[in-house]
Amino acid sequence: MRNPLTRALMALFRRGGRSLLTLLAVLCSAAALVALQGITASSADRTTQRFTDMERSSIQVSLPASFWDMTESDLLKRLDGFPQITAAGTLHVPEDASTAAVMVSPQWGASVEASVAVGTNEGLRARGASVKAGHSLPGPAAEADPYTAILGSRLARELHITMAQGDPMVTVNGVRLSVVGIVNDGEDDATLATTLVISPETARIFGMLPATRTMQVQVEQGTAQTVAARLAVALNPGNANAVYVEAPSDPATLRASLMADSRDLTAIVTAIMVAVTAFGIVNTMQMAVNERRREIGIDLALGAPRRNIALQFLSESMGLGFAGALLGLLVGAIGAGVCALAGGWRFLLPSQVLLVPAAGLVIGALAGLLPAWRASRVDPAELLRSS
Amino acid sequence: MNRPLIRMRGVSRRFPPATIAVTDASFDVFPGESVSIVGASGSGKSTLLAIIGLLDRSSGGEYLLEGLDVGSMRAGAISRMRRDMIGYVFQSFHLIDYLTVRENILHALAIKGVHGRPAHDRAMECLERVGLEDKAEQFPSTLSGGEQQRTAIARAIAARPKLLLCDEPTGNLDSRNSQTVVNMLATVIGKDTTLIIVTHDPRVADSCARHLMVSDGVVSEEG
Repeated sequence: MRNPLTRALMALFRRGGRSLLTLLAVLCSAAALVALQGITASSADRTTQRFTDMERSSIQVSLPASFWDMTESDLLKRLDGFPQITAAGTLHVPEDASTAAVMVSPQWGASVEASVAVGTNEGLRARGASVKAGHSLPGPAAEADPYTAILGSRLARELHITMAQGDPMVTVNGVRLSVVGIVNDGEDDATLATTLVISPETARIFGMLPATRTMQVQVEQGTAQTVAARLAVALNPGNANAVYVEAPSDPATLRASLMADSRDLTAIVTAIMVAVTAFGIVNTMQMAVNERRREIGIDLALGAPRRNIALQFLSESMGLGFAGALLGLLVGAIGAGVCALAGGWRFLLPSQVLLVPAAGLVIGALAGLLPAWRASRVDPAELLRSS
Repeated sequence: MNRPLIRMRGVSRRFPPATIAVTDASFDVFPGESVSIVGASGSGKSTLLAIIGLLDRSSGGEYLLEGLDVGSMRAGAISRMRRDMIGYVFQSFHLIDYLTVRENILHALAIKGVHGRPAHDRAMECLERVGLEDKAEQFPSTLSGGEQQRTAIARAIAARPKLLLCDEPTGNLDSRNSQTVVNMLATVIGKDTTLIIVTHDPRVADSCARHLMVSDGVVSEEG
């Protein structure tokens, strides 16, 4: 006698159609659950990011390439009229891998492809970065050695370079640079950790000056919007339009962004629920067809046209969809009201929910097409064979 | 001379890959005749009945029903012919469980386009003819086997079919109920109704005037 597990496996595989329908129903529900969990978590994270962005007290300014001809001190003088600014400086950190260079530590032979940032010590401070070992980049003085760089902490580890080594060097695209320091990035940011930073003077020698001069500007809490509104004119009075200022979101922009995110989330959740509902109806109706094959065969034997059989099952499917949606509308509205009451919220129900019963009717019609067609294909001769 | 209601010439039915259920069946059945089709289990009797009753299509040969070539008919015309001409009585009764006795008959009449008062009156008339008028509001599951089969007969004759087909009508009944059903078939059908009964029971076969024998798919006439 076969054991229960073996019998179960036999039943699963030999009644493949029915097993598949049940499996797909569970799959649909599980997928919906996982997708909803992921989507809501992602949405919550995005909301957090938006608030973090609004609370940010840093501004990023992009200046035309011609500004590379201006010294850092002359550029910073243009910010003297802003007492709210706590730190500012040049630091261009590439956002993609387009400026990646091959870096090799000659002592250890380690080779890594990494980005090259161009900036000054003021820019690093404005970003909140700090030199954790060694010292900062040399200034623009004429006697300063331009063949120097500082490494992000993770890049230094990958190249096996520490400041304890005597005269650490790194080769960038075949050119040797002295490593003068290792830097840690600012809080909540780790981009610099995998970056090599060189001064504008060094970048100019290697022809690596970026197409824009990026400034990092740190301001007092709550003053970012005020400062950002005047920065372009202060830095480039002759052509403020050539300056791009990226400031944190203002409350109005944040509100609009959050509302848009909420609408997107609702749309995605709605689409998932519609898919799950539709599949549930398909599954239910297909099982109904399977269970009522005898009844369908009787009707066909009595002379019912096949289209009548199809119409009957399609009508049942539409009825299920409509009735379920109508009841769901009532239960959902009551549930939402109860939740709002319990949470002390204002109870709101968009007028679009009145379309739910109509949507249920349509979903029932679409979901019922396949089962209705299959019902109409039942062979009435099965009745005689099953006698 | 009357035109035959049923004319078969060389009709066969094959089931893939290699099963031949009926081979070269050729016979005529005239209106008003009663014919039994006898044979052992698995001989092809029910398959032949399914072809006669337009529940199945033959694989070859010619089948004329009331002079019309069934083989050239489309599905819609076949189901209309089934609806308008043919009544069935099955071995397993095949009543609809969630309908009462009366509703089972009304359901059949509705499919044939009879509704309202005329349908109700005809349903009760048929139930009286089979002796079940007092069971009209009961569900099939509460009836005995014989009563269920009598309900099935009432359903089959309700639309006054020209051709009544019975597949082992006594197969699931005891001898007493079997006799009741056989007697009932002889009395309730009209004289213009052609009756064809598939059976392996000699007593049921004897109630018919003609006998066709089916053996390994081959059809022959007895006597």
